[in-house]
Amino acid sequence: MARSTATIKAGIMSTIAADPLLGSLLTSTSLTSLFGLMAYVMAACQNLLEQSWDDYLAQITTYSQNTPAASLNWVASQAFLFQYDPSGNSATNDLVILNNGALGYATVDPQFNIVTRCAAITIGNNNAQIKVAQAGSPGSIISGAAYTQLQSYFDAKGTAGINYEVVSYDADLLYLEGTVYYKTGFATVVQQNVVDALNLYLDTIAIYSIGSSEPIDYQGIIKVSEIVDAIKNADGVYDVLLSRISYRPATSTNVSDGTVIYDLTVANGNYLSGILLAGYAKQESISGKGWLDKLNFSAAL
Amino acid sequence: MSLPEFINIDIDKRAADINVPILRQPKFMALLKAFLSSTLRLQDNITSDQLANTIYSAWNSATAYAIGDRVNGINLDTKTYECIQPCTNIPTTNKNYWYVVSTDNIGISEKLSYNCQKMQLEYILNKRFNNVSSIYPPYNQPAGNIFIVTNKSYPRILWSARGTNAGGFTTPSLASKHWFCPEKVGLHNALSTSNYTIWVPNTVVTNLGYGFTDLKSLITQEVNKYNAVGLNYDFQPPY
Repeated sequence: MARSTATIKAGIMSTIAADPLLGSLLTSTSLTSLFGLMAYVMAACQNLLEQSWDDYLAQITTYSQNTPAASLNWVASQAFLFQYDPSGNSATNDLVILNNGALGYATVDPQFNIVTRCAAITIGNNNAQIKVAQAGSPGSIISGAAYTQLQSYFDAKGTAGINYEVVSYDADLLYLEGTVYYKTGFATVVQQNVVDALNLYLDTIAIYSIGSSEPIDYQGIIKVSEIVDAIKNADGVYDVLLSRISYRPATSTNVSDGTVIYDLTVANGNYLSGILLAGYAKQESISGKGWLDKLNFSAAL
Repeated sequence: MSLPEFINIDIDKRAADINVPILRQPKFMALLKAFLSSTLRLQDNITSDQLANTIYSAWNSATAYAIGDRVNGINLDTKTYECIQPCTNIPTTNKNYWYVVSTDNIGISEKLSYNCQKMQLEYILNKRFNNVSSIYPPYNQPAGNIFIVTNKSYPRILWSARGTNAGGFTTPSLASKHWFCPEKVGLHNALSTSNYTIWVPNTVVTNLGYGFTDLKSLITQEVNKYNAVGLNYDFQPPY
């Protein structure tokens, strides 16, 4: 929380005024006094230092959040450090005990960090499920040798006594019904803006974002309030009234197979949030059931 | 992770290193120390309030605060504030009177040293939520603070026993079915559904002004930052 140059200079000047040796000597109130100028220079340098500290603080705060071993953030950060080299090079693929005693790779090469999505949940006593995906839109399944290697990776890195099950599924599909009210002049662009805003929201779930100022959702949870916020933040949106929100796993074939987290017609019992099966989600893909099919767009009165 | 050297500046030595005529030295040193006072302050902020995060008294509407006084936010406000204008009954949200020294009362060093030890988690939960009793060990019911009980692991299959024998007893449900129920043992169910149970004193719930359901949700958010994925936990009703 860097202080302004003026605030810092005021602190220096009050320290001078309160000092038993200087207080009676440096009494000038002139804006061009020499000691005032020196105080200003010091304050300006100090301000830069405090800004640098703020940047550094943000980095070590992120680091500290990922530190608690076996915690949610730690699991996610370890998944993003996983390396899979299709050539089978053992230096980049196999975990070894490094010289400092840590578990890691002999050769660290970020080009082999294939995991782009990771969410983790506890599914029973001593049982953890880690949901992962690799690059794609918005992600794609990790399978074959890469999957087997990733499972072994967590078996080795995880806490002894806890069973880690790595799963990789296609994205869950998010279904929305409701009405979006838009501002005058946005009729031609508001629909695409809403789609972009919703995709932007879904892209904050279970992603790699070290140093993010916002906490990343590594549980793979989708929330009604965040969906509403995302739509309202789209350029041109005046208000939104959603009537139904659900999501379904990619393996199902009907919207009705999904989990309903909000239904306007239900007075009580709305879940308001849900844990995504795949850990991440995208727009419902059934023809006629997409966001622009089921969201009405109406000009605000 | 190593920390930058600038947080360990020896201000007195730096000031003394400047060689000036002996008669003027006290004044030069005083001036230099005044110029470096803001650096000293940053140094203090980093070591006390961002790495370790010192605990101060919670803000109080009846207290008269002078410039430089520091307080913790009230209730679940995790920030530490410094008074920048003398005031009484001016809430810490007023930026004309209060400067935010740090945003999280769990210090970075505390987070970095966390390694899933039960007492560390108890300390973090008490530091975050408990302002009615000691946040330091011991953590137990007589101490009146938030504490954790690790649940014993019992076999998941119980032998059926007649009556109320120690191993368990059967409760008939339907004519064709029987349920096997564990005996109550000590503070918790012998066949608990969780790896550990969090106990929260009723005084904490009352003091914070939240219902237990809401407070559980807030505590859950905090525990999820530290809990090892794969370990289940639950809550006992306030004691």
